[in-house]
Amino acid sequence: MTFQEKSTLTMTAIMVLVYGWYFTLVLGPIAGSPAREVAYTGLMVAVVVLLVILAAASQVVLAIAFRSQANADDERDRLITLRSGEIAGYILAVGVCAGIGLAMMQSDTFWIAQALIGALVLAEVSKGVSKLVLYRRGL
Amino acid sequence: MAKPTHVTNRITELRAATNMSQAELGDLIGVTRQTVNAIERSKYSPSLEAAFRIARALNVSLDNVFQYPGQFPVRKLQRTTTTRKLTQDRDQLPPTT
Repeated sequence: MTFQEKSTLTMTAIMVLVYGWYFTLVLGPIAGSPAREVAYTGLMVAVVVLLVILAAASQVVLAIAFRSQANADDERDRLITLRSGEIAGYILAVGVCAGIGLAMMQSDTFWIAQALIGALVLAEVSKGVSKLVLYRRGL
Repeated sequence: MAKPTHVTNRITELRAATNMSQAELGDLIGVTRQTVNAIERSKYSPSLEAAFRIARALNVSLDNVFQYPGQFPVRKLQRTTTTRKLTQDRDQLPPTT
């Protein structure tokens, strides 16, 4: 497993866990709360801070554990990153269109925000998953 | 699972003949050991530049390392040849008045 693969696996797992927690709260108790606009904003700030801390910590741990591989990045890594970015781009576009659709139907800003956050998360997770698949299956 | 690339190669065999590890070959051509492994298992087709570097590192010519099995479709080849012949014949005709 290359360093890029380990890093992608870690980051994807962190994103799934953190945003899984976020959406469980937001689509559950927060969605029915009268102060949901304030609640989700506060939660979003917490999520971003948590993500930054976990991402930095995991990268430091990986870089120390696999010091010799930490700077390894070659043409295959770059091609896999490009391909997975392409897939993520399509998913993000669909999510943004869903957000625009909600705005056109004059939906609550809370739901528009959740659709856009969901699109960003799905795009990032699909990018990670497609990278891992391409590393395993080949390209 | 089908191999993602149709390009086959003899890197494993040539590497063994020169007692070179995947990591050493990777270092020589500027890719990771995992990429050399992926190339050997036909899971990744290297760029033309990397292919030339591999051939140079193994001290053989490019077509001694990489092969592309199968033939050019015969009907397409015949059509291309026929078209070329007709074009040549047409060009040799005297100009019409």
